Amino acid sequence: MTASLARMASRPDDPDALVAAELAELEALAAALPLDEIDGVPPVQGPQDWE
Amino acid sequence: MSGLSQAEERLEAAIAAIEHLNPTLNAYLHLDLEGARAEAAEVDAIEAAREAIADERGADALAHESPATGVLLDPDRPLAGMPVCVKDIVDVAGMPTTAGGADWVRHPEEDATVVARLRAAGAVVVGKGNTNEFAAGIDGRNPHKGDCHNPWDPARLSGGSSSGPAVAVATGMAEGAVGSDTSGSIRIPAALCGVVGVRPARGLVPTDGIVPLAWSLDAIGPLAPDVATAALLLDVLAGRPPAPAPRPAVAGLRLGMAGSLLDLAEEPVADAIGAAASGLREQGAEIVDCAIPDLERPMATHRIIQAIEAAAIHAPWFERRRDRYAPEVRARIEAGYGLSGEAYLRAQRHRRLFTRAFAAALDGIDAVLAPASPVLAPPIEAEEVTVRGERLGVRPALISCVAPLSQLDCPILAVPAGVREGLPVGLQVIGRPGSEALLLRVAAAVESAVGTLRPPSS
Repeated sequence: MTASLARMASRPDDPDALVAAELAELEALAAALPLDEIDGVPPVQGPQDWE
Repeated sequence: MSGLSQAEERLEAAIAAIEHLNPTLNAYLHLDLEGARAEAAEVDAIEAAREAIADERGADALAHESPATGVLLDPDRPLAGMPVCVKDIVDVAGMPTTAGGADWVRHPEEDATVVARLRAAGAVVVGKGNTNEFAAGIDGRNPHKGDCHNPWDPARLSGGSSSGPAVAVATGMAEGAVGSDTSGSIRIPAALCGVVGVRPARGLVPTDGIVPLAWSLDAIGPLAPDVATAALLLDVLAGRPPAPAPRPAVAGLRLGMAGSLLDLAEEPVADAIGAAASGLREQGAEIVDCAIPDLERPMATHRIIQAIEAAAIHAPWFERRRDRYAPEVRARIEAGYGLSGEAYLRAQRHRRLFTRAFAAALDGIDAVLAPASPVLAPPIEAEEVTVRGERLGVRPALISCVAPLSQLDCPILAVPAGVREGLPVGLQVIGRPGSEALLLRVAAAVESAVGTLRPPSS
C-alpha cells in the first residue's frame, strides 16, 4: 500500500485540535523530504516546461 | 418549442432540465434565467445579422462588437447559443461570487477573462455552479450551500470541487461548463458523473477573476458531455481559434499504462480502465507499462504547497471569519500558517524533481493512461471507503490518483471509460505540456468505443 492511500490519522472533533493535527502531519511530511536530493534544484515558480 | 430560435431553444431545454433536476441535485447555487433569456435572444439576433452580413459581404466581415457588452466578438462565434454553467469561484458580471463559502460574497462588475471569452464566442451564462467551500474539497459536499448530488444516483457523491459544473453538463442543465482543478477538482467530478473534464497545462487558460485556492497549482478548464465540446470550450478558454473536432486517431501512438495507479483502483474501476485500454489497442495504439515515479512524495509536496498558498490567499478573510469555515477546510488552510518558508521551498524543489522523473518516464511514450478515481462514486454520507480491502478516508482515496499529477503543470483530462455497477468510471490521459490536442484524440478514441454517457435521472 503506498502512502498516497494511507489512512488519514484519526482526527479530533475540536476545530483547534484539528488544525494542530493537520499542522503536525504536514510538518512531518516536510521534514521527511530529503534535503540532499534537492541540492542545486531551484523551486518551481512559473509553469514548468519539462526541461 | 417552435417559434424559438436556436439559442433560445437550447436555453429553454437547459431550463427545463434545471427545473426538473436542480431541486434534487443542487448543481446551481445561483441562476439568472431572465438574464440568460436576454442573452440568448441577443445571440440569436446577432447570428441572424451575421448570416445577412456574411451573405452580403463575406465571412471576413463578421467580427464586430456586441451591442450589449461592447466586447469584441469572436468572428467564428464557435459557442453561439451554448448554455453554460460557471463554477461559483469564477466572476460573472452581475452575479454574486460566493465560492461556496458560508457568508463570503463579492459582486463583480466585470467578467473573469474566461467568462468574457465564453460570451464573446456566443455562449449564454445560465448561472453559477456548486462547489466545495472555496474549492477546497474533492467530494462535492458543502455544509453551507447544500451538497451536490450525483445524477447517476442522488444518494452518492458527485465529486468536487467542480461539482455543479459536472452535474450540470451530465444532465443537460448546461451544454458546457467551466471548472477549476487544483488537486483534481475537474477530473474527479468528471469521472464520478460520467463527463469529459480537462485540466489544461498551467498557464494556458488565464486565472484572473477567480477565487484562487493555490496559485501554483490552480488550473481553469472545461467540463462537457463529450470530447468535441470539451475541445471547443478549451480553445475558447485559451483564447485561440477553434481547431477541428478531435478525431479518434490513435494508430501508431504509444500509450503508457500507469500500473502503480491502476493498482490503487477497486476491481470495477480497474476493469473499465483495462477495457478502455483494450479498445485503444484495437484502434491501433500500442499499450505499454509506464513506471510512474514514487507517488508518496508528490502527494506530500502537494499538500504542503496547497496549505501554504491557501493560507496566504485566505489571510485577508481568515482572522475575521475563522469560525465560518467548515472545520476540515479551516484545518487545511490554517495549518498553512504554521508551516515555514523553508518547508514551502523544499516542497517546490521536490516538485521539480518529480516533474523531471515523470518526464523521463515518458521517454518514448506519447501519453499515460490511469484511473481518475480509484473507486466508484461513494455514498454521500460515507466517511470511509474500501479500496483493495483497506478502509480509507473518502478524501485521501479520491485524490490518490489525481493530486500527485497536479504537480506536473501538464495537461490531463478525464474521459468516461464505461459504466460499472450502474456508475461511471473515468480514465485519466496525461501528456507533455502542449499536448492537449493529442490527449483529446486519445479521448475521442475512447469515446468512440464507449460512447457518451447519460445518467438515468436525466
